Amino acid sequence: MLSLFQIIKPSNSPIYIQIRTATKRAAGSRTSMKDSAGRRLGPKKYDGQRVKVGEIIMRQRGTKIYPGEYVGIGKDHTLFALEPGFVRYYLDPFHPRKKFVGVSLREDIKLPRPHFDPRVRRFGHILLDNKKAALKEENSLSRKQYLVKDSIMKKYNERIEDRLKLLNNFKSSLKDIISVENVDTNIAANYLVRLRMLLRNGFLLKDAQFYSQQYLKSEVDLQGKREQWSLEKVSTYKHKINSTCKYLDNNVSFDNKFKLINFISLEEKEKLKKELHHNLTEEPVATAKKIKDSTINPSSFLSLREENKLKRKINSILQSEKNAKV
Amino acid sequence: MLRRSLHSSVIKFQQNEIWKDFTKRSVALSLRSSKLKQSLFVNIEANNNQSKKGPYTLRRKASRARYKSPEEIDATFKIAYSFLQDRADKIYSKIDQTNDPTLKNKLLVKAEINNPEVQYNFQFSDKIDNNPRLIDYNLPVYRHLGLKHWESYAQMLLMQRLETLHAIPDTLPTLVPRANVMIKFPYSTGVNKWIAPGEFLSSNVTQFEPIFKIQEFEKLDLATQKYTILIVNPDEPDLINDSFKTTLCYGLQNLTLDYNDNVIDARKFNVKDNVLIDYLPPVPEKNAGQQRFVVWVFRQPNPTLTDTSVIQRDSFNIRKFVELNQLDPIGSHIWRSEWDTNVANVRKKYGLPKGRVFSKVRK
Repeated sequence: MLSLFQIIKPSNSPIYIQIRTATKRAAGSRTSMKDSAGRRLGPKKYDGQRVKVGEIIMRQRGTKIYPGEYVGIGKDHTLFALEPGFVRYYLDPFHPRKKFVGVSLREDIKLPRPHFDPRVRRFGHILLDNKKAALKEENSLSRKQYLVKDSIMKKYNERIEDRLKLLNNFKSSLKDIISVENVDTNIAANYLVRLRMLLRNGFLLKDAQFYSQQYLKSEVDLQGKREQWSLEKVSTYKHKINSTCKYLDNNVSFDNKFKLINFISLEEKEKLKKELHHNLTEEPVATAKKIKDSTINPSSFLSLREENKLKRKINSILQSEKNAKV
Repeated sequence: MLRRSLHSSVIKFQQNEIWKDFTKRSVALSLRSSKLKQSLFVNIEANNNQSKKGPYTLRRKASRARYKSPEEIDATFKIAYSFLQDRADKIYSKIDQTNDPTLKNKLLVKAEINNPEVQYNFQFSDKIDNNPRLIDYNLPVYRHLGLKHWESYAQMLLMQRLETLHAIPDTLPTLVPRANVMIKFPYSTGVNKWIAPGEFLSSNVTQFEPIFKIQEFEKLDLATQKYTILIVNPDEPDLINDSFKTTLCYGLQNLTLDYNDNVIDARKFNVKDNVLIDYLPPVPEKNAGQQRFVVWVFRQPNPTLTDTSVIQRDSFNIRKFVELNQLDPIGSHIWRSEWDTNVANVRKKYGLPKGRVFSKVRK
């Protein structure tokens, strides 16, 4: 307090006189002290000037000018070239209140280009002529790919193995179902592996049959082209595929667990279904026992869902029978 | 106190049960299940079996037991139904008097759009792999519903993908989508899936040609209308110009469609008459970036293409081809491919030369 208000006490006077001293700073202009150096804003490249990738075209506060074709924008709205070319300042009729700067790849291209024309693009990658360098580049993988490669290959090989096993299984089991003289076993097994896969993926039977046959045929076409077969050879091979597939379609079927069984037509399936339904209502216990002993095998003519439903039904029938006896 | 009350006079409807009459109308306008029909038209809780009491559409016993129907639901439904049916009857009588085909089509939609059986069939069955007993796209009302369903999602998705991936204008200037185009690759991996526009597909999936499904929604004479399908790749590196060129990957011509039976696979065409150019699978080169494969479907103005002279695999000019033949683009699809380790196998299979390798970094 003493510094602010000095109390002057004259030696003889009983009265205190209070005075203020000049402690307040002298007032100056309010903002003149804060002025910073100029930020060197403005265009760094003018219309028609050649730029390289990354060169700054414009420094600005806010977006006085917007980035157009092949121009990027930084966090402080600096505009820079994304492709080498020629700077163009332009107006775009789609954005009437904005000014743009773009880079055109060739000197004769004006911006904006016509709206419905294809883009003018630069490929930019260089062909690796050096065989060693090319091989190295081709075999290089990203870290992410490199890390998952082994597990993917392991699974892939497992799949291939499974398919081979299935193929051999079909080759051997075909003898039990059909007379093998009518078909080429190799083609037949390949066809059945394919057909089973398509059916498992939910294709309809007719589609699955056609698509697997077509697959075999296009494989033959390509092999013929590669090994320069004569047209005759290709057509005889295709004919063989045709006859084999046709024979199999009329002589083999898959049950609802995709096991190979004797042929069963749609009408036959319907008939058997009706018969089973009839038997279950007429003499439920006997039929249920027959199914339980697997003297009747419903998996050949019922879908998996229907079979599961049937199993539940049979269990309840047998349970109630047991309870009645007790 | 003023109260709102129902009008006391009895509303009389004509006894014309047009929605129940299937002598002139298609069976696809009716429900398939008789039990469902009974629960809809007779009594919502109608069931002879006491243990299965409750609405037919509720499958679980617990849900059926918990169900409480709103008061007077059956009576209200009946009144509303006969009111709408009465209106439909009037529209049908109007249809008989008109000769204008577009107006007739419009009225046919209007007459059936409020039919609960039609709405049920459309909402509760598969709209893509449709069963013609339930959704018959020969009928204007199902085409209308199908169009609205497509416009509500799939069409917007397609246009978004085409625009953000610059398929338009890099291939053709633009597209006014009118038909739903879908693709599937059943020959190669056998995966049963319609591909979403813009998906990245591996070279293994795309090693054999796709099948197409083209769903038309407009009233057309499909017996005479022919279609062309092209698949182009606008991203083939062009080293001479340091740019890109367009490759024609697949071309089919003079195809016919049906409103229901519209999956185009090798059963629908033969090599001699319909294949413009064989299928070349995507085999992108290392570091050449992602490649877009754009499927274009056109309506032909003539039964055959007039000028196929510009058809070539390399440096294909799709705009010129479309202009020469006056083709009308109605639908599109797109997928993307990138180099992967299987590309070399596909190249070997098709007898193609080894792929080039480019620098990782752009210079």
